[in-house]
Amino acid sequence: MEDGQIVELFFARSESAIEAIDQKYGRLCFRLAKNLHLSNEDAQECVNDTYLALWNRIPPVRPGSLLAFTCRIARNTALKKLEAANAKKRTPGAGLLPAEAEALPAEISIAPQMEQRELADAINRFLWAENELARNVFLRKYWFFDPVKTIAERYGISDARVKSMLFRTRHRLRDFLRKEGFEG
Amino acid sequence: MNRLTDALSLIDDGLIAGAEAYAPQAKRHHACRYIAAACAAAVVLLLGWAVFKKTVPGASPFVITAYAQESGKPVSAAELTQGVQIPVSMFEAESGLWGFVFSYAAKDVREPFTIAIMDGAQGTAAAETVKAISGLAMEEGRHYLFFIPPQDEAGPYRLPLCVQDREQRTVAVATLLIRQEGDGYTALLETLTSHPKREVK
Repeated sequence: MEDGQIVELFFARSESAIEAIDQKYGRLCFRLAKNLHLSNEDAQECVNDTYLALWNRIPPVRPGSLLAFTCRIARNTALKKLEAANAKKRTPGAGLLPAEAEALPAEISIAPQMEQRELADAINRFLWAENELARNVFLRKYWFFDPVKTIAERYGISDARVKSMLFRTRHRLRDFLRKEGFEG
Repeated sequence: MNRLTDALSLIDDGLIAGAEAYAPQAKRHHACRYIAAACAAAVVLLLGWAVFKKTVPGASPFVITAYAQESGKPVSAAELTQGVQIPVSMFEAESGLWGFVFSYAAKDVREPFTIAIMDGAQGTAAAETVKAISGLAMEEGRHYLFFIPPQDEAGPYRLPLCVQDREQRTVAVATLLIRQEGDGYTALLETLTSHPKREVK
């Protein structure tokens, strides 16, 4: 079913909208949650919470990209669940994200006064200017949290090439943000 | 959480949708495992010979060693001979970079080893250096070259090398060609010549 048709089902308050979104994007949302090392149970809960959020937001929101809208909700839901799970474990110093995801240039300290929106806009400009493969490898790793092996298989390249690409993209991002004045 | 990770939550829809939809034309090199096996056999034969040093003018005594590693096996080192393809592998440096490793003998076997990074994307030696390469025991008296292939190209990669011999006042110039063969890579010493070093007057 086309995204536009699914959105219309939401607007019509038809419960088949949930069935349609589950068929089209359920696996993607589940995989995204599992990439954050959530249990199957927690990952499924994230997916269910995502559907509920979609039901509550559409309408009035009419997403430009249903895929992006759905994945964004799923990602944020999964990250919150991970945060809650870590807080329960009460392990001080434990990273929120899997160690690999934290390899995103934490060596850049963002100036405190810089707004998240400004930073996101800068990242947008940087990513749109990147080569298509490098951009998508970066996003699969740091937005979708795909493991390196999965990314390599997806694009038919070696694990080594994925790691080299990520290394170079991270460094270019660091230099870009430095030039844009984001370093604090 | 890292502020960059937070900011990623706000990036354009088009970037997210693009990352899900993107499917490059994957270059699939059909496995020619027998080629790799034949190359390995050639290496075994060559290693049984003494290194052949040509005496014709322009030939170079400069010898380049290439490194390969198959899963579960120790690292193998083989000297490159002009016109002969041998298997090579990518190795990981301490910084997380991946690249091909080559080496040549220093003038003095007691010299500490060095590792220089050649960045294929820039076409130059990189400013940074590494101190260790995973799985490879560095030997004193050798200069190592860590070649990072350009990320946007599937290959083949050409690596030009230029080494000065100050005592002999010569410059050795070599070109290596690295190709993907099936699931692995091979390196070929395309050219290797020696020239007297030009004196600037």
